[in-house]
Amino acid sequence: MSHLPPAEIHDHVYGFARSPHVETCPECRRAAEAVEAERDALKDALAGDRAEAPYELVVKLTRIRKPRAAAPAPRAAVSIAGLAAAVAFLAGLSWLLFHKPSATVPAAPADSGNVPRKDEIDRLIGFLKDPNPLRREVAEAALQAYGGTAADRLEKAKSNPALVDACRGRAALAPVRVPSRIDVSPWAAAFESPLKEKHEEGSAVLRDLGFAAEPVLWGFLDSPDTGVRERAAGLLRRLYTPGLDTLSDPLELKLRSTRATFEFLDASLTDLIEFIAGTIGTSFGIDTRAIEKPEDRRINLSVKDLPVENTLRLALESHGLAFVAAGDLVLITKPGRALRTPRGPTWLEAATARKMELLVDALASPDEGRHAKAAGELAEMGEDALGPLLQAYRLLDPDAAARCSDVRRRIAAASGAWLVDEPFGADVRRLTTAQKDLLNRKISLTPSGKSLDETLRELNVPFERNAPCPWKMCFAARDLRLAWFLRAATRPYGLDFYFQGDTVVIDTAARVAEAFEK
Amino acid sequence: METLLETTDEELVRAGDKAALIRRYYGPVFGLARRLLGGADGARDAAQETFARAIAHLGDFQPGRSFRAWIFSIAANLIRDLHRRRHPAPLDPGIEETIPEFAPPDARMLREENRERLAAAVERLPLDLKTVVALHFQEDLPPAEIAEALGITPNAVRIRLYRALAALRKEFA
Repeated sequence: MSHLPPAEIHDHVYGFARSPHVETCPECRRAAEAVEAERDALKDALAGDRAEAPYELVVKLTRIRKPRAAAPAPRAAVSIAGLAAAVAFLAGLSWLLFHKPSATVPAAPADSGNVPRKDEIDRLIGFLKDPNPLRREVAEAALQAYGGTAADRLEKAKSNPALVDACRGRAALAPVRVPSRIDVSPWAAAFESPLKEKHEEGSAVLRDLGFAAEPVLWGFLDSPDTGVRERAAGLLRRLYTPGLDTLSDPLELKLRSTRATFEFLDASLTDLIEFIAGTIGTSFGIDTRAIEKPEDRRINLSVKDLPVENTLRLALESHGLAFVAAGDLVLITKPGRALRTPRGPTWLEAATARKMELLVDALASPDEGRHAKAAGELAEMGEDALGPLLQAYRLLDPDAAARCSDVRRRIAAASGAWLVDEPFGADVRRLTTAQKDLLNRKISLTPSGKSLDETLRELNVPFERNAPCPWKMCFAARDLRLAWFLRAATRPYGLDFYFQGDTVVIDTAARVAEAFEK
Repeated sequence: METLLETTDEELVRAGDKAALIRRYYGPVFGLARRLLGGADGARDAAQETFARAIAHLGDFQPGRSFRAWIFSIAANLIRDLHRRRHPAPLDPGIEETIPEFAPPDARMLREENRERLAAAVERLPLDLKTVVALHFQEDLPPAEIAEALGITPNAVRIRLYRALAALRKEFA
């Protein structure tokens, strides 16, 4: 009996050419088994643990690129007019962020949370033929934002081939729209007001309402008032700009626009914050849970006439640190520890956007049986869900808002982070005048390394602490409102605070949430 | 609700679910890059660049093709370019044409205590042979898919595989 040559034995084992002879010939069968054993040994030798895709990579590769940042502003103080505008904006935003919607708010006439995608796109395609040039222009920008998602329907509608090509060349996206129960008419009336202060307040609120304000904004494009038409078009363009996250709060603007010269030679991190705080008149804090012994971190840096924001970034990146604007102060922490919700609309891959919409709908629904699963799946979607959940918190009834807030905290907790812009604890209660006065009290601090208890005693703040806080406080503050000191001294540490009479009570965030948000 | 395990690659591509595709294939691509480049740092960069290119050209992916072969194709081309920059020596032109003389498998290769030595021997293979070995034994791709991924004929896969086996057996002889 002839046997197979080695090459054919290998062809049989590796599947290049199966040979029935191998099964019938004991010697060839043995030769094949030896090759199979070698193959198994190689598989075993080369097997290894599977690496998981880093979360940051997934976000980086699937998030849309942000628009190119504007050139840094020239060195100048913020103008009085700018301050007034900021105050108006903050007033409207504060109302929106920290006011829990009343259960008696009437339902909005149009609920934009569940419009079928093709209907949204067909409506925009219809606007391409509108006699109003502003509506045509905004519709075209909106369709480009949808990108690949809109391409097929544009082609079917025999739209401008250049627009079809432009859409096909872009990622297939869709916005995440959340259900709305809010009546926007008071803010719409303010938006149309000829008084600058009023229409700026209306603009700020409609901007933060996101797609809930979309129907009224499209309507404003037909206003006889040019200013109203232009403002509405501006807000609509903003809605249809994926990846937009450029709205900065006043502190971020200050860091970006203030230029300074610094030379740090073997300076400690605590020296750095004290020096910069004194130079530019901004308060700083260090998250000592994330950064042990900040006094031992050394900084060597020499910069000339650079925006303070850049200086901070340069000084901190070499230590793997970052900073975040937390209200009235800049908090130094580790990347990913303090999450800030992106300030623009959330645009995601079309299927993911739809999935998120359905989950937020389920979380908002009166059917309790749907809440737990929806909450779990939204938590798994991670930071992408923060924006829509914050939107939903603003727009829904108190019970649904509390569920949204809870999921946001779960998302932050899953990565060991806290949310800079999450209203909870004392923020969600009606405060007495005395309590508000206490929170608005201005304080000054140096990086003393004292405990929270020692610091509060020195500040003459009546308090009671019901949860451990072993971390030392490290703040360089001047005229810092006590409210922001308390937030920065509790929330990064899994704590929170509320008032009992005139006493500040500090407890774990979970216990505070449980006691005060039901 | 569907889980990732139930959704095919083609369904994910059609839905534009890039995050799911990255999560599904990061491990295999990183594993291949680490094997071929010999280190985790270079492998991370190569994996990131592979997915960046894949996402940029996802619109070019033809339905009906193997997405797995496609992503490995991008990775293998990238790694080959990186390797050429570091080692500009030309490939042996005879490498595609003939299968080697076969010695039988060495029993020492099969012993568990020699696993590390075997892995180290794979590391020393020329890149083109190592790529086929990694795709087949580490990533479990069948020869037809390896051919698709590398843009070569199935016979070329066969020859490279057998030359690799011959070289590894020689190390243990």
